[in-house]
Parts: sequence; C-alpha cells; structure tokens
Amino acid sequence: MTIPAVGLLLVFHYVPTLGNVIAFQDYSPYDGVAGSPWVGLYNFQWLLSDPEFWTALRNTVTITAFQLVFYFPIPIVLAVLLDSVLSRRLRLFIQGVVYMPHFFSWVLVVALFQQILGGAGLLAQTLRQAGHEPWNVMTNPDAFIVLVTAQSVWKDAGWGTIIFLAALAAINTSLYEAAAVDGASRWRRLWHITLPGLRPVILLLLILRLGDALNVGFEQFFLQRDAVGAEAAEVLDTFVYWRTLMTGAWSYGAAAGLFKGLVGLILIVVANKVAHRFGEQGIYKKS
Amino acid sequence: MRTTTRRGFLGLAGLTVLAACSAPPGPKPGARATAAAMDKLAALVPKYVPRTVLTPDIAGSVPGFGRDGYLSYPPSEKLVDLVTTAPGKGGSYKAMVPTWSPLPAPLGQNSYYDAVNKDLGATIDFNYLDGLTINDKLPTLLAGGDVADVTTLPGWALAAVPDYARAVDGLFEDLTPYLAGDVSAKYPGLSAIPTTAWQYSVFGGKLKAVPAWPAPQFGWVLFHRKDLWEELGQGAPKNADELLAMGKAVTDASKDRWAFSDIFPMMEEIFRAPRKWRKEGGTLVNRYETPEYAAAVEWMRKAVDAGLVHPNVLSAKSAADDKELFKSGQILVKSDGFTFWTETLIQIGKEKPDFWMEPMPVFGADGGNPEYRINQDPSYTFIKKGTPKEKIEELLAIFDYLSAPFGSQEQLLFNNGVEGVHFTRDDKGAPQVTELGPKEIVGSYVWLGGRVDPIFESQAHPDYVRAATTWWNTAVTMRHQDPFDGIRVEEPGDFTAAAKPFEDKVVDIIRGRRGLDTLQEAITEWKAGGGDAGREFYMKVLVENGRA
Repeated sequence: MTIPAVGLLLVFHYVPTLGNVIAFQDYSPYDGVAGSPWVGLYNFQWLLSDPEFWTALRNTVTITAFQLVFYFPIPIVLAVLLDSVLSRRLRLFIQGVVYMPHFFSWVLVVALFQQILGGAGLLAQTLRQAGHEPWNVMTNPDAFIVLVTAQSVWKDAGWGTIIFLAALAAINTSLYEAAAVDGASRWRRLWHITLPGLRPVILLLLILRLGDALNVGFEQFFLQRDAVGAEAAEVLDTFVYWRTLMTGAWSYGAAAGLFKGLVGLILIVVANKVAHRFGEQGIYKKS
Repeated sequence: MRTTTRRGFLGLAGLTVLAACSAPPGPKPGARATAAAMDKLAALVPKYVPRTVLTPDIAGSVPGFGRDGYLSYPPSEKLVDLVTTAPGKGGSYKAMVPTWSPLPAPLGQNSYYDAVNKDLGATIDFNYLDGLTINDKLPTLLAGGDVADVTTLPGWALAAVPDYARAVDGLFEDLTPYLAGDVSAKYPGLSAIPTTAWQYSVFGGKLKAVPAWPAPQFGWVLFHRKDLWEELGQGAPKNADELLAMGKAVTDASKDRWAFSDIFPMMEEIFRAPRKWRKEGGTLVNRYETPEYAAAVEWMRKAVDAGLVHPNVLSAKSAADDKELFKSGQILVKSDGFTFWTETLIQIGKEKPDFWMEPMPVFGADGGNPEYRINQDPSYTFIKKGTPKEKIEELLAIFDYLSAPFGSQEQLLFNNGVEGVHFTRDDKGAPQVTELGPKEIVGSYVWLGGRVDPIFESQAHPDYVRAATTWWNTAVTMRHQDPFDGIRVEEPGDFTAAAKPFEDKVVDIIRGRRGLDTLQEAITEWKAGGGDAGREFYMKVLVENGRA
C-alpha cells in the first residue's frame, strides 16, 4: 500500500538529494557530476563572504520571525472560530471561501492587492477623489514585511485551518458537556479543553515550520522585488535565482541550498529536543 | 521578545562567521567565458543567392537594415508558387517555438496546422515556450538537455543562458555538412537568408542552426498613443526635457491617466548611452560609467518623482500588464518590440477605429540624434543531436519551404492560413482574420526558416504601412554602432553577476529610495565586484579580433 508513496519520495526527494554533491564541485551540467572537478568548501567560502547573501539571509530570517508571530496563530484562531459555527451549511460555505485563495497563483494575488492597495488602485483613487494624497503601501520598503504577511494570510490562512479543524473534531465532546455542567464559561472551556487538545498539533506544526524557517517562498518576492528594492525584498530563494541560476553558478546555488537545509535541520532537532524536555510529543514520540 | 532574541542571535552568528571567513582566492563561482568572431566564418555558411518575387511599393533605406513596404496586399493571382513538390517525406516532428500569445488549439483540432502540414507533406507538432518567462526557464531547459526534435530560440534569450555555447554543442546537430557552400540549387529559400544571420548561427566553428527572423530588429521602440497625445494638445518632443514637460501635461491621476510605463532602457538610447561598452582613449568605458547613462537615470528619477509613471508598473512590473494599460489609455508612452504595433492595431482596430499609436518621432535627449540599439543576432532553429541524416534533410527541405518570402503562395498559407477559413480579403485585397484565425494561428511555422519580411500589414490600419516604413527607414540611420558588432561574446559569470546588484541600486535611485549622488558609489562597487575584470576580458576580445 505504501509503495507508491515510498516510490514518489524516492524519486522526487531522496534521489535528487544526492545531487547536492555538486555543492562541493565546480559543476557544469554539460560535464555531469562525474566530469566536474571537486573543489571542497570553495563555494561555501564564497557564499559566507558574499554581502548579498547576508542581506538575503537577514531578510529571510526577519520575515520568518515576523510571520511566526503574526501569521502562524491565525489559522488556529480561524479554525476555532469556524468550529464554533453551528450551521453546517454556513460553515462549509465559509470554509469554501477561505480555502479558495490558496489555489490562486501569486501573480493573481499580487495583482489583486495592487488593484486595491496600489497607487492606481481602489484605495488610492478613492483618496484622490476625496482630495487627499494617496497612500501607496505597495512601494514602501518599510511596510513590505506587513504587506507580504497580509498577502500570505489572505492566501493561505484558510488552507492552514484544515489540520486544526481535524484536531478539533478529535476532541471528545463529553469533556465540553462535563465542563458546562460544572459551570465553566466559554473562555474557560476554550482555555482548558480546546487549546490543550490542539497543543500537540500546534507544536508539531511549529517545529516543522522552524525547519522551514529559511523558506519564505520565491514568487511573491520575485514579483515585488523592484517595487521595494532588493534591500527589503531579497530573500534566499531570489538570491539563489539571480546569483546562481542566471549566471550558471550551479554549484554556488547548491551550496546556498545546502546551507538552508542544514540550518533547518538544526532548528528542527533543537526544537524537538526542547519539546521533549517539556514532556511534549514533538514530531515523534520519545521511546 | 522571542523575535528579537532569535534575530539577534542569528545576526551575531552571521557576523562571527563573516569575520572568520574572507573570500577564497580564485574567481567567483560562475560560467566560463569565451568569444567567437564572425569574420572568419564565410566558408561554413551557405552562399547568399538572393531571390525577389515581387517589387515593393516603398524601397528600404539602408541595405541590410531598412525595410521594404507594400501599400496593398498583392492579389492571389500575382502570388508566386515557389515550391511545387511537397518538401516533406511523411515524417513527424515535435517542434518547440517561443510564443507571446495565448495557446492555439492543439494538433488534431486545428485546421491551420492540418492545412500547412498537408502542404509540407510532413507533420509538425508545435509545443510553445512561454516568451515572458523564457529567460527564467531556458537555463534549466538547456541544462536538462531534454529538447524537442526542432527547437527555435530567440538570439537574446539564448545569449542570456550561461555556457550556452556548450549547450548548443552538446544538444544540437552540426549542419555544416549539409549547408556550407553553394546550396542554392537544393535550398533556394535558405540560400536567400542574409549571410550575417548565417554567420551568427555558427557556434564553436560549426554551423548549428538555421536563422529565423534574419533581419536586424530594434530591441525597443518607444510607442505613444498618438490619438490621445494629440487630443491632449501635445506634439512631437524635440528633446528629453520636452518629453518630460509633455508627460507632466498629459498625466492626470484622478482620470486614471499616466504618461509613462517603465521606459528607462529606451531613455538610455535617447541619451545615447552605449549598449555595453564604448571605445574611448584606448580603453573601454562601460555603459554604466558614461555620463549619458547617468543623465538617463536622472531623467527617469524626475519622471518618477513627478508621478508620471503608472503606479502599477512601479509596484509589481510583471503583475501589471502594461500592454493592457497602454491599450486602455491608462499609459500613453511605453516601449515594446516593433511587432507590438501591428498586433495591437489588428486587435483594437476593429472595436475602436479611432485608435492610433505610433513610435515617438525620432529625437535625441539634447535635440540631436538618438542611438537606437539594433539586434543583429537572429533567432536560431536547431535540430536535435542524433537525428538521422535523411530526417535532417527532410527538415532542411521543410525549413527551405518555410523560408518562402512575402509574395509567395507558401508564405500566405503558413502566415495567414487558408483563405475563407482563417482570413478573408477585404475590399482592398488585404487579408482580414476571421474569428477562427487567431484561435488556431499563432506564430509557429514562421519560426522555422527565415525571411526578411517587408512591412506589408496594410490590413492593420490604412496608415500603417506608410507610417511604419517611414519610421523604420529613418530610425535605422540612427543606429548605435557597437564595437563588438559581429562578435559573439560569452561573458564571464561573475561579470554578469555584478550587473544585478548594480542595477538593483539603479532601480532604487530611479524609484527614489536612494539619492542620485549614490550612483558613483554604486559604480565603484560594480567595478570592484566584477566590472573591472569584465573590462579586461572584453579588452582582450577586442585585441584578439584586431579591433583595439
């Protein structure tokens, strides 16, 4: 039964992982791995001394940290709210609406935001008509982090509720009844039953998110890079794109990718250790 | 609190590593560089044997650069039947060509493909490469090596691929044995393609491709909505300051009307900045270092500061379709390729007969002449390596057929489709597309084989041919002379890489995020980051080609 899934993992994840060896080569796709010379840590030395890389890393980490606080909790709140809607039809309708943006491409999402918040958009034109200076949030480097987070929330928060909704459905309803009989208010029930019931899932996702800390996406930033400048919008993925893919420095790009993976691995292991220390399950049960 | 500690920690860790680790000796990782001159290639390409089928109404100005014009479309009985026996032998091929149009109906449901394939005597199944993302996808596509039987790539897209000469060498067939020398008896169509285009098709001493679009092309043309421009009381600007003043006069944000799209590359040409290098006092001066470039940056900054550039173009260029904004009149001046003109006229003309656009009349920033940049490298049609000899000969015969010029029955068929199905002739005899036409026809066969097309699209607008030939034949007389014309240069990867941080800073300056006075500093950083190394490389290329 699991063979197709294992096959998929093997073909699309484990075998390509071996390709990372090119990070230690001066690789040319026309020579292949066997024909390219080995250069040891040369690419990593270049990477760590590249100021553009540090700008990209700084932006990536800042954005991840910001989103951890302002994006990560939103699907949880949304799931709890959705779960409290009693009418099944209404709930399904709302779910449909909040899931939908997940399937939009980033070009569409950015264009939509532009139509509303851009300098020629709805907001700016309304302000102009009322005789005010338009407020152009889309080209303000300082507001960029808020803008991209808002875009992510709009696009993906609904989709993110799915796992939490499943976890909520798994909470034993008799607990709520017993608490209600004992006179616990709504807030008390949320605090003492719902949130503890969600805790393992929240922690699991939080740890996995940390492992992904250096991935904030490519397209969203690529599209809006010129609008706010590289200083604010260069993230690791866009850095890899233009510095390596566009100049044929394949090995250099692989080195940057490997660096990202290594940092992610360290974060996952550390976070999981911490979770275990606090008696939580983490991503796997400690035997 | 958590945020600050995490960031603080990582920042600190970063600093320590940075301090401990300085750049290793040796070049930055990236593509290797080469250069090949066209001058010595005469023996490898077909002998040029021109063929004329009709006499044009307007003759082109500069030989090799100007373009002929036909004020009306020749009637069917005047069209020449150039190829009488089907070139194909029943073969079936997959071909990949770039497109900037919505995808047509696929083979099997497309009567245009069926009609042309039948006349060819072979089946060509087209696959389209999205032209808008071609620069992003081509490096991986070529590195992956999984190419179709026939692949056509624009020269500028191929040149942007790192190590492309090696990709071409490894992936595509050597056509020298088939085409070198006088092959005009066998391939009269291919022999009529100008020699320069053939010479560009030689990679690493081997003729690797059949040139498509062999005529020199303008990289950018500065179009304006002349209908609205005149309605708003503006005429032809004579210098850059006048253009700016006119831009101010026409911009009215509350009416959803802005003067400009991102026209910076075009302003560089109007200010006469060189394409890449200028020879000066025995050395090379880069485009970035010239006062002309700085002046263009300053002009563009003024335009942005004055609010003359459409905000959508500033906030997300690729998500803001400036073609549409131009058509709807929200943008009045934009740069695009020359073919944008006919495409738009044909598309809009039917709904809005008053719609009229044309290139801004030729002017230089100081009132003198501009230096328009012309691309002489054609597009290339390659045949996959490992194709058997008889298949290559079948394909070359097909390319020969598809090189039939304007004025032939073949060209009418593969360019316009079937009369009565894809087009009808209007009262002046010009082909007008039917509703089905654009659904089935996008540029496909026209990419295989090469023709020097005259300007003939009289169906686009009654004034089009005259306006287009007049502009073109004037503009080519003001073309930029590049010291590297005719030399194909594959530049070092770290030189390419140095351009991006510099251009990012220029974007910052133009958008008002950095002061104009920081340009000099950016140039200094660019020089140290690979610019000076690039200059040395290019100097060597000049010396090796005897042009220093």
